[in-house]
Formats: sequence, C-alpha cells, structure tokens
Amino acid sequence: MKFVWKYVVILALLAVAPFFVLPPFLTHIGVMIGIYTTLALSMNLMLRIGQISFAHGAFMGLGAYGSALMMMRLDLPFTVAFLAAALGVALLALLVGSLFLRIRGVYFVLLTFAFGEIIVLTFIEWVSLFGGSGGLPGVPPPSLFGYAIGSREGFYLLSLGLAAFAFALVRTIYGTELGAVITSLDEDEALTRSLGIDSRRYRLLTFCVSAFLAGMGGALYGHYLTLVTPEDYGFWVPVNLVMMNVIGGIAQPIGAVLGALLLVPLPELLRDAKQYQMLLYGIVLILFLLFMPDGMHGLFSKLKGHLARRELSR
Amino acid sequence: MNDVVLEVATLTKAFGGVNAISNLSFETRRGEILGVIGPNGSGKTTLFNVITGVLPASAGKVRFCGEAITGLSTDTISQRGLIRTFQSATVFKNETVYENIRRGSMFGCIGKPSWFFRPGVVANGKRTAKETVAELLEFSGLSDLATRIAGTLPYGKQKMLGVVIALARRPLQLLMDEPAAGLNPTETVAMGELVTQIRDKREIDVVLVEHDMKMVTAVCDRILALNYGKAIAIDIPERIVRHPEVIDAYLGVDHE
Repeated sequence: MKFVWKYVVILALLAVAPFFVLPPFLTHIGVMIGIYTTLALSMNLMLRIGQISFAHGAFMGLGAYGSALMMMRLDLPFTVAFLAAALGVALLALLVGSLFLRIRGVYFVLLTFAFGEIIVLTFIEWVSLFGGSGGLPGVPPPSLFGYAIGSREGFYLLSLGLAAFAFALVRTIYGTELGAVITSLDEDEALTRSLGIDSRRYRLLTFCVSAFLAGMGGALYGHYLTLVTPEDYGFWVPVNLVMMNVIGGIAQPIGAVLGALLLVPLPELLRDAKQYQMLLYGIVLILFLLFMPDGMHGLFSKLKGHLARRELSR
Repeated sequence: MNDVVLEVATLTKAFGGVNAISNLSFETRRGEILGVIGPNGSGKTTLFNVITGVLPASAGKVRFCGEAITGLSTDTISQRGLIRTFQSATVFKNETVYENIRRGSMFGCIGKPSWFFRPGVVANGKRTAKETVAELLEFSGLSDLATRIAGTLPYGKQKMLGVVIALARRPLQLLMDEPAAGLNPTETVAMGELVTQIRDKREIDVVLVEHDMKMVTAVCDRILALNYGKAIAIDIPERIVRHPEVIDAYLGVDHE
C-alpha cells in the first residue's frame, strides 16, 4: 500500500499543477507528455517480448481516425468512440499479430514497418473516409459525463489520467505471473515453451494490449489537436517511442515515463531550430546507447546504490 | 503393454535428402532410465527435438502414455508431462535460483493466457510453487544458492538448475540432453547421482542422452545405441558395451 500512496500523491500534485503553477505552454507540453507516456509504455510491452513493432504509428493513427470518425460520422458519444477505437485497434492487432508474430527479429520490424506504411497510405488515398493528406479537420472535443472538455486544462487531466492508467496497467502486468511469462519469453523462449507456455498466444496477447494502449493514446492525440493528418502517424512515431524507452531505460515502466518526459519537450523547445532536432536526437541516442545502455532509470538506480553504500560506509 | 511410457514407432526425420533419424522404433518402460548413446551427428538431439515437437516428424509416430503426441506443439506435449532439459545450461539467467524454480512450477498452471480465468489457478499455483521450490532446493542441494542470480553461478550449478527447473514442472518423464556435457568429473558424478535419485525418489522416468559412458553405464537400465539415425542395438549396459557394432561405431572411435 505504501507504494500506491506515493503514486496517489504524485498524481494529485500533477493534477492540480496547471491550475496553480503551470503556464499554458507548459500545460500543453504536459498533455503531450501524458499521451506519449501512454505510447511509450505501449512500446515497452513490445520491447519486453523482444519484438520492436513499427506498426505502432499506424495503431496510433487508427485510434485517432477511428475515434474522430465515430464521433463525427456516427454521432457516438466520446467515451464510446474512444474505447471502440482502441478496442478496434486491439482487434486488428489480434488479426495481423497472429500472422506477423511468427516472424522474429529484423524481419518482424520490416513487416510491421510495411504494415504501417500501408495504413498511412490508406489514410492518404482513401479521401472520402480519411480526408486525404489534408486530414480530418474539426475533430470534436471529448466529453465526459455530459461535460465537454475543450480547455487545455481539461485535456491535461484526461491525458494525465490516461498515462496513469497505462502506467498502472503495465506495472501490474509486469508485477504478476503474466509479467513473469512475458519476461521469460524474451529471456529464453525454448526453455519457456518446454515448461508448457504457449508462446504464440502470450506474444499475441502482449501485442494486443500494446496496440490497445497505442490506440487510446492516438485517439486522445487526435481530439486534442482537433486535426488528424496522416503524416503524424508514420515511421517516426515508433522511432520516437523506442528512443524514449532506450533513453528512459527499458527495464522498468518508469523508464518509458522518464523518456517521454525528456524527449517530448525537445521538439516544442526547438521549434525555431527544427533542422537540428533530428541531429540532436541522433547524438543523444548514440550517447545513451554507448554510455548509458540502462537509460536514465539505470543511472538513477546506480546513483541510489552508490549513495546507499556511502551512507553505510559512514 | 501397460508399462510402456514413451513409444517411438518407425520415426523418420529428414533434413533435405538426409535422414537424421531413420525408421527408428523403441519404447521406454515405467520406472526405467533409458540411455541414448551415439557419435556426434547420430541424431540424438534431433530425436529429442522431434519427440518434444520442436521439429516436425517426417514420418512415424510418437506415443506418450498411450496417446499419440506427434504433431502437437511443444507446450502441449509439456503439459502432458513429457519435459526436456537442454544440452547447454538453459536457465533464466537474469533471475534468482529461487525464481527460476518457481517459474518451472508456476508455468505449468498458466500455459495459455485464458487459463488465468480458471478460478483459483494463480493462488493454487503460487502455493504449490512455494512448496515445490522449498522441496527441490533441498533435494538438489542448491538451497545455499537460492538468492543468487542464475547467470552468475558456475556452469555446473547452472546445468543442475536447468534440471531442477524441469523437475519443478512435475514431469512424468524427463528427457535429459547431455546433462554431464561441460561438467568436471566431480560434477559429473553428482549429476549421475541426481539422475538416479530423480527416478528412485521422485519416481520420474528418464531418457538420458549422454556421451559420458561411465555415467551412462552406471545409471541406465537399458541403452539405445544410435548411428546415422538408426538404432544399432537396445540392451542392458553390460551387453551394449560388448556389442561389436556399437564398439565399431562409437566406443572404438570415441573412447580415449
């Protein structure tokens, strides 16, 4: 219970922050961090089974288009559209996953990459449904219990809630027997299978849960920007998500949070120097891979251990 | 025929045009330790891979406890109680010895994600796992190492742990792939004793693929000698070591 209270306090402080201390611009960054935390956690699940998915941009996009279209065309309430979009993405992951997940390593990356490109092309070419390269403008704001959430602060709370849900979900998965199975599959698949684990179904389940989170993150992203455009859901989404995990530390879900916290503000702060953004990304990634392979979380753990030892030796 | 446990009938496994296993038939009996010997490349590990469903058979049948298991997946065969160990030390290297054994016990209860919804599965599985770990740590003499990370153990202990993980799964029959490979003489003796105890104290049947002839002849009730995927002989150790074809194919060449 101690650990739950810690998170409740952090969450409460974060929740009231925009109303007291955060200027609007930082509140906006907070919304983006919440969304990307959800997406990075979704990628963390894939990294846990050792299969980097490049389909996650498409999953995010399908969530965004799905939720927006269901509200705009079918007049469904936000909660229904939002959940149906995410569930739809999970269902699609179930279908394609049962084929794709038979394949491992770089071939899986390529396969999911091709899938992602096909989906983005569909967004562009199917103009009557997805609006072409101009995208879908005028995505309606979410509403909860009859209240429309149009304000930045409202989105901030939604985004924070979603990130908290994703974090709790992923942490719970890792903390239970399901997590032990998933970790085992990556550590030694032959041994895990010989102990009676149906590896295909567990990989498929992980893929679906991961896609579900990506769909939710995407859906909220679309409603927040009020415009859903195909280029937002391409190749760079999974690249960013993997980077967030590497920089934050892939061993723990908190690493995905740290990664989002560090990487999301960068493009916003570097708006005037956009051409240097990718260069900076590249340099940061190389430095982390070479010198801090366990990411920021790994660094913090080491520092903590170091301090504890110094404390002891006194 | 009630005491037949594993029955391999006219089994063939072809890679391209080469038969790694060729028309092989044998059976194991309840309470038996069957040794499988043969020169490198004679099809011993392939035999295990085909029996446990890692590789599909080209022809022939495998029956376990009277039921056909040919064509079933590895995890399904494992769920039936036929568990293998691996030639190299195969453990969850980043986990403690305790956690390794616990997973061995637990994973049997949660073979598919849907099994989580069976009432009491996780709670009962956890309780059983706790007992199993305690009992097996004692049985294997790994108690002192329970909190060590498996990957940091000496190779011999890791191989021992590999066997214990499989035992935690509560097999009816254990297929052991060269448990003594890479072990020093003392560790080999200890491994031989462990194999005997697995049968005597835990009443688990064993099929033992092994190169160490001293260990095989000491612990096995019968030995199956393979060459080029074919059975040369299956007999008690005393007769196998004098069998002219076995000496020719294996002992004569490989024996220092």
